[in-house]
Amino acid sequence: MVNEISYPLISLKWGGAAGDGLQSTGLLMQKYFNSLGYSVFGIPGTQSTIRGGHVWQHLQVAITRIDHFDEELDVLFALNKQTLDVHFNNVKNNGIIITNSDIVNTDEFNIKIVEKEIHLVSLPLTTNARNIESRSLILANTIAMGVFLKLFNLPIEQYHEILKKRFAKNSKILEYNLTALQIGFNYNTEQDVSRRLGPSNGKLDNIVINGNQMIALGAAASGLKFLAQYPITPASSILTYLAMNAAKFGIIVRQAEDELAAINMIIGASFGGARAMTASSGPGISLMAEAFGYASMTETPIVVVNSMRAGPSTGIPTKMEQADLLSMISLSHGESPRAIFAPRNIEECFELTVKAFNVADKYQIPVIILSDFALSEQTKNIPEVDLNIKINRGKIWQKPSSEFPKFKRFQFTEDGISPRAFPPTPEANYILVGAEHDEESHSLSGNRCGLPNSWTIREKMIEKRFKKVKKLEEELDGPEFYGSNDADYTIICWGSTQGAVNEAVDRLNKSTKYSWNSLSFSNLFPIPIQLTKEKLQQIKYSIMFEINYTNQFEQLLYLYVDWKVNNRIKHLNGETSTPNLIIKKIFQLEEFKNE
Amino acid sequence: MNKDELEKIKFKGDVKPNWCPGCGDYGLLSATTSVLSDLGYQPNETVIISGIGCSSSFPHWTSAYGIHMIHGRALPAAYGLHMVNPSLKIIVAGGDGDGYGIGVGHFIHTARRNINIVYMVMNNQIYGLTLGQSSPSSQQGHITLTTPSGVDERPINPISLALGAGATFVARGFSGDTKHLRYLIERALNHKGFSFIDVLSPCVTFNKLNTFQWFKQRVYKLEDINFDKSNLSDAFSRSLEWGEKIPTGIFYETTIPTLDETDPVARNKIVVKEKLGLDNIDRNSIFDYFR
Repeated sequence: MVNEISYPLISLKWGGAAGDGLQSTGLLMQKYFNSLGYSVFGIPGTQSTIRGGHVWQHLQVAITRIDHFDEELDVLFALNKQTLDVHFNNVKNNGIIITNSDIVNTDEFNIKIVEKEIHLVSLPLTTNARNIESRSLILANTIAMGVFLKLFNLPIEQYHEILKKRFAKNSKILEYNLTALQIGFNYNTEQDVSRRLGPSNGKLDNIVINGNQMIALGAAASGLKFLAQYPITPASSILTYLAMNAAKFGIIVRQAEDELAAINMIIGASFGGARAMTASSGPGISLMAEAFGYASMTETPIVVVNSMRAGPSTGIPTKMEQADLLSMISLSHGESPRAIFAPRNIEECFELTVKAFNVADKYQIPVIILSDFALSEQTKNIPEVDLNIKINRGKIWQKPSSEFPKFKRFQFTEDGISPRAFPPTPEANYILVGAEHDEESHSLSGNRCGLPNSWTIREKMIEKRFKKVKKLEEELDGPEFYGSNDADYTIICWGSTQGAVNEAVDRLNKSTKYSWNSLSFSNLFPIPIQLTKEKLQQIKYSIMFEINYTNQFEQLLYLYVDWKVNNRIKHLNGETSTPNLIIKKIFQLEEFKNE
Repeated sequence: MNKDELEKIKFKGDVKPNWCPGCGDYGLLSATTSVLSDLGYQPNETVIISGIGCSSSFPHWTSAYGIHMIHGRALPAAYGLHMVNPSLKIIVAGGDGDGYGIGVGHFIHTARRNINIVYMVMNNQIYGLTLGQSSPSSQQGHITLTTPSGVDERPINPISLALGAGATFVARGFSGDTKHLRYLIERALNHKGFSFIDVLSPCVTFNKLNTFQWFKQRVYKLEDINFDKSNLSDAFSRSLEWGEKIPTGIFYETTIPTLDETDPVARNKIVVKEKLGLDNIDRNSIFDYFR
């Protein structure tokens, strides 16, 4: 061997039909690299297809921390022909394609393969898999993995450990996989270059986790006691992770008959004193609208996770969008206070879920955690999170006190926050009601409706409910700059696009003569007005990047902070945004045409 | 009042009902509050949950805890509350629009889950609070605001529906016979599992067809005939009877495990009494899954 190539980062894609076992192989690979101390970042490309179709798993492995992925590929695993058709053009010059010669004919790509100096490893994966076990075609993945390990001079023993853990309960399947891995590893790939991943210096005991699992873990650490949820992409893995751990965590986890039931169930559980949560995506969230308003009106703390997918209606269930923001701000009829948090990365999925529960209890409001497909289904390795977190349950009334000698559920107070009591607390019996009510929660919709005394109470109650969120603003976090504060250009974003935007900022700072930074928001609503203004004032030229057509966050800034962006870019095809895409969109703007 | 008298009315609320004079719902309200007292329940340990409609004001006229939910969603709220604290006695009360119309899906699912609560539907076969439209249980031919040429849909059969959905206690009462109602409520409260009572509760203002008199001429009690309430087939056949004769009483009763006895968490603990968070759990047992 003559040459040696050292990679600081490998971008790879694993493509095939649904049911080929791509996602589970992708996860095993991430756990493998994690155990070697590398940084991993994965995102699935899924369809609403259980078997067949075209799905992929994108994975980046790096020697330093990463929070984004790139379209350009170092390695493409093509388990079927469609993978080549769709992704061939993304393979870099000198890249690698590992493919299944039993079913993939590469003839039409031969010229380009030569032109791009792509190293093609074409081997009969199906035949080899069949030779090990006639029914387990999924073994093709493991064979390909063996080839990959060999190509990059990676240690095979560590992958044995990963397989042993994965198939600990089934020794036969483990044996098949170990055999398959060795077959791939022994395959003569005829490469003339020695490829290596640069040395890792990360921790060896990080965890590989996705956004939904982090939200679930954050909820459990916060003292979640009741989860009711109806399955929906991309929120289902919150339900399945917590169902799997229900007994261990002491959380009652129930699958509801629909989302209407789910949110009303958690309202009942919260009335009883339990921290309660539901999770869904657009279609299910729309169904929850009425009950969401009830929770706000009755000042019942609940946490609702909306993992956004592309809408409206069924939309594109397995793709991301940030188009629910305005509907979350106005979810339900009338005017009902709430808080909305949009995690910007996997770490914040935990932190903001903890915050969501404390804010819900303290201010007695419904709180929305606004994730999206790209964040919920994204996997990354991070250090173990600290599960010992601060829990604030707010004003709980247990017996007469000097401040609250007699229990009145909606007592008018300085900050608008009244005491809560749970059955069977004696002397606190009251009826929770969605009709406008007085301090003792007596309905004003019946015989007292329209009487002058009710007018006064109505106005005071509206004031009281909104006073709470005014107070909440004091403990909200403002947006954060990435890069120097006085940059020439600022890209503004919110939620899960932060990683790609920040990487774009780094690249722009290197490749252009201007300085760039980003300003990202996670505490979306109510907008922390003062903190937001302070940051916005420092911006010289702003470019808003959000994944919706109607400039929803831009509208918010204009409405609440009286501030206008200079320019905007957007990306609406449903795929997770990449740094180069963001850069490309920026240079398509009129202002940058000549750059 | 002496102590005994006070004890008798301890479930009576301070707020006076705003139901029409003569409304059938009064019968169920007084029967319920008196039976709760008789059986020794305490208002602070009892939660009455309703949806929307005339009858759904029910909790406000009692001294218990209560939730006056949105339309049709009383049962899911009851389910959530019950699962986190099964030591509370929960009664869900509502009307036919609430339970057989907008909320009928929850009725079926709550029945099949066999959660240990009582569900009473004040069935007046009309929408009263919106001033007289047809309901899912309106009789065919009934002329209402929305059916000027008479109801042309067949009415729902709540008894068959409850039986089919797997309710473990299925009964029908008549608010014109509060003594019998008290008997049914007592049996429902003592039943372990989902107890359903369809209560014929005439609307004196908007339903001039199915009146107290109309029912009085037709109802009879299953307890008065030789009827085996442990036989599901017999219960189904009897549930189809409606017209010249209308059966009331307990159609079916059986005992199977309730959801709080089978749920992997609820069967061991009352979660609202548990410590919050994951401090007591071995970190490795949580994080190893992710490696």
